[in-house]
Amino acid sequence: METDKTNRSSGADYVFVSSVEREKNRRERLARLYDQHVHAVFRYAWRLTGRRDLAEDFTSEAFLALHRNLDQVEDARLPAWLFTEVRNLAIEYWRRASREQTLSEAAPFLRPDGSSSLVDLLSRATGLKPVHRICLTLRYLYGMDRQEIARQTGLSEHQIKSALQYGLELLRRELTS
Amino acid sequence: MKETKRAANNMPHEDPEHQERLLMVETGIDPAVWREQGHPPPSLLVASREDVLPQPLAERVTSHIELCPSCTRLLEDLLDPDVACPTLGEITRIRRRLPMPSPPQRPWKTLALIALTLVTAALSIVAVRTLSSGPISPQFVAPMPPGPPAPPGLVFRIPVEPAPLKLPPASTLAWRSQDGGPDQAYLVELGQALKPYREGRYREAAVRLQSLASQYPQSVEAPFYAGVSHLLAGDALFALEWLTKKPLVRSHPLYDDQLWYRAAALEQTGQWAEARDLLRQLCKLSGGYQQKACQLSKR
Ligand SMILES: [Zn+2]
Repeated sequence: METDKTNRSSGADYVFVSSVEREKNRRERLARLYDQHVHAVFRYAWRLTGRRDLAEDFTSEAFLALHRNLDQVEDARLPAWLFTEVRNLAIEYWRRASREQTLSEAAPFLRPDGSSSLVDLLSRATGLKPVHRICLTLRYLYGMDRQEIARQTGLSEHQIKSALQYGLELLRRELTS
Repeated sequence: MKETKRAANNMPHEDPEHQERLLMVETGIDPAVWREQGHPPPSLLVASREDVLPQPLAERVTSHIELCPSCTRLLEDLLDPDVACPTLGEITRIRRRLPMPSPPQRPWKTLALIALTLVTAALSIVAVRTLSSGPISPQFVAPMPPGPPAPPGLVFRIPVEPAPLKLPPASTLAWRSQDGGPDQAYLVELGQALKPYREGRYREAAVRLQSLASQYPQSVEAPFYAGVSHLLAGDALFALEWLTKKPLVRSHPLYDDQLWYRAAALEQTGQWAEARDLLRQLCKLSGGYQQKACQLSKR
């Protein structure tokens, strides 16, 4: 009888220890997969949404879904599996957003005449990097303030200030040279 | 009136507003004329490239882009691998939402890193402000009425190409792991962190190399390539911070490279005189940058 009890008890401990161990292994695997794929998943989410905050949300949603399905998803199916999760979230988001007033037919986009003084100038100032041109365009073509540019680009307001200063300096030199 | 003039005089030269004023005064162009309504929001431009927008929205955005050079240019820039890359802050926030063990870094290290970043940023602002009121950049002392444009001798346009990869052979590593052998783990991780650098994804490279630099405080390659990555990604202030972090000894293979890229970062943050001093220093060294540095500094 005594022996039986001991066996039962150590069996339960074993089950408990192995489930703790199993969860630990799952978390470690998730961390490894996160380090491996987070950049690619974020970049993909950004291409589908064009918004940093949504790219951040959808990337974490995708990894949370992976955590829920970790036992069923083999490493070889990644990052494609995560991309599919992100894509479904993005399609759903745009379906909802396109019904909103700002994106509906009520706000037609400009019929451009094929010319732009700012873009001509930007292409002449060869020292500018994409990040400078983006800050200048969002600031001066779209009229965004630094906070809005920060939300759009993921840059800090300090970096934006520095990019605008450098960009304007180069434009000025281009125009006065 | 008096108030306005004083405000203008006190305006630090790194302010974009000040650059706007200079632009208006020197070229007669008011940036307000660039403002146009009716371009699709940047998020729609980006998403229009993937098959996720419902019709007819997708069609409307695509036909606008086809006719609009501004949106075409903006879209190209937004799709740049560096711009699309997550920042360290974004990576950290996503990680916090997931049930995972914390990253290996100890909390005090993270705090120290944040504190260091803030202090360096503050110092660089102070440095730029001090310079702007010093005798070296007279055009920034009294912006209204405007002084002469940046002195020609202080305009270099230092070209910034990706720095060549110079990795330490295991036997020459400056420090040893606890068992006395060379720290192979560092070399392996450095190789991994440099992968996005080799592939031209500089913002991602900067994030990875920064994190490696804080994990291996004695490393010199990680902060150097983090600085170069920031510069290539267009973040000159961060570049300067990382390129100043570990001053190298003259015999180090990256010594000249560090001076060159630091000069470029100094120029891009408006510290022309310091940039010129570094170029002159490089001009005296018989390294790979000598010719370029001499040409630029004698301009
Ligand atoms: Zn447009």
